[in-house]
Amino acid sequence: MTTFLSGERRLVIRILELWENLRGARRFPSVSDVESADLGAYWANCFLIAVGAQPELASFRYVGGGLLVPDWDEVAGRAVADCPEQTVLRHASSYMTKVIHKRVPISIGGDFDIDESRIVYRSIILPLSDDGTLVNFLFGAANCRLVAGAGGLASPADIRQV
Amino acid sequence: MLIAYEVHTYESGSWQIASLFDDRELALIEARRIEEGLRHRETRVVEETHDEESGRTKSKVIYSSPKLRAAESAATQAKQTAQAAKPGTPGAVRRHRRPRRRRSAATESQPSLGMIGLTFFLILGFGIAALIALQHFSNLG
Repeated sequence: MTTFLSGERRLVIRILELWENLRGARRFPSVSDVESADLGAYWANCFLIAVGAQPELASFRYVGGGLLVPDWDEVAGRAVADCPEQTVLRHASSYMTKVIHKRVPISIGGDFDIDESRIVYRSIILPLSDDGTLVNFLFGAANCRLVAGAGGLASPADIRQV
Repeated sequence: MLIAYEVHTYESGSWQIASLFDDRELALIEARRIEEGLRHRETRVVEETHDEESGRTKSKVIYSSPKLRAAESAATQAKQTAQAAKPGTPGAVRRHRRPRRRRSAATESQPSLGMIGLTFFLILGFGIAALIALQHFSNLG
């Protein structure tokens, strides 16, 4: 069980802290280091992506209940590229190739409309590696909230404080 | 205009990118969290502004660890002190003046053109006077 030292409660900072604790002196933690027990309630907002030789063929290994896509009965094995538009999962995984390229955790937030509602989200994707060199998994997390009707304006503070 | 915030940590003698954010405040929170963490690493946050039209990217350090700032301040002060001790720099105690150009000994011993001319005319005058005198004395004899 990982103990969070910082008093910070924001999801992305918590996830960064966990990732850093898991990696220790290594450059990346491995996918086997990630355990749901370490994350408690945050686990429902997390996802895991298996990255093959071709990042465009990357697929979800796990998606938490808080990020599930309504039409998807089975998540494991679903291609990231097939994730429907206008879902938090789609936005939260949209920059995964940048993480593979940069090899560092990246956090991005934004907003989008679903039906008559404006949703703001904050997400993070962190690289994982089994051999310490090749990034073969990505660990992600995201949360969101409703801020206004469709077309409403979301401030940077709204996006930050999701 | 795209703006990204890179959190850097100082490891093994160089700056490494630790994480990237699209939000300034989150980047600053993460930098401070790392500083206060178990390893107490020094951090800085770099703002990267990319102009898509010109293709140019500007980098600016918007935050440095207090320890790092203190070290940088001490280094700057030491540099200024060292510069002040050096002659020829502003703030130096002894101002180093540019030495006046002095003629070398060889240059000083050479007669000027005017002196040569004067000597020539003097010798010529004495010669003419001597010839006139000789002619005068021979006519008397």
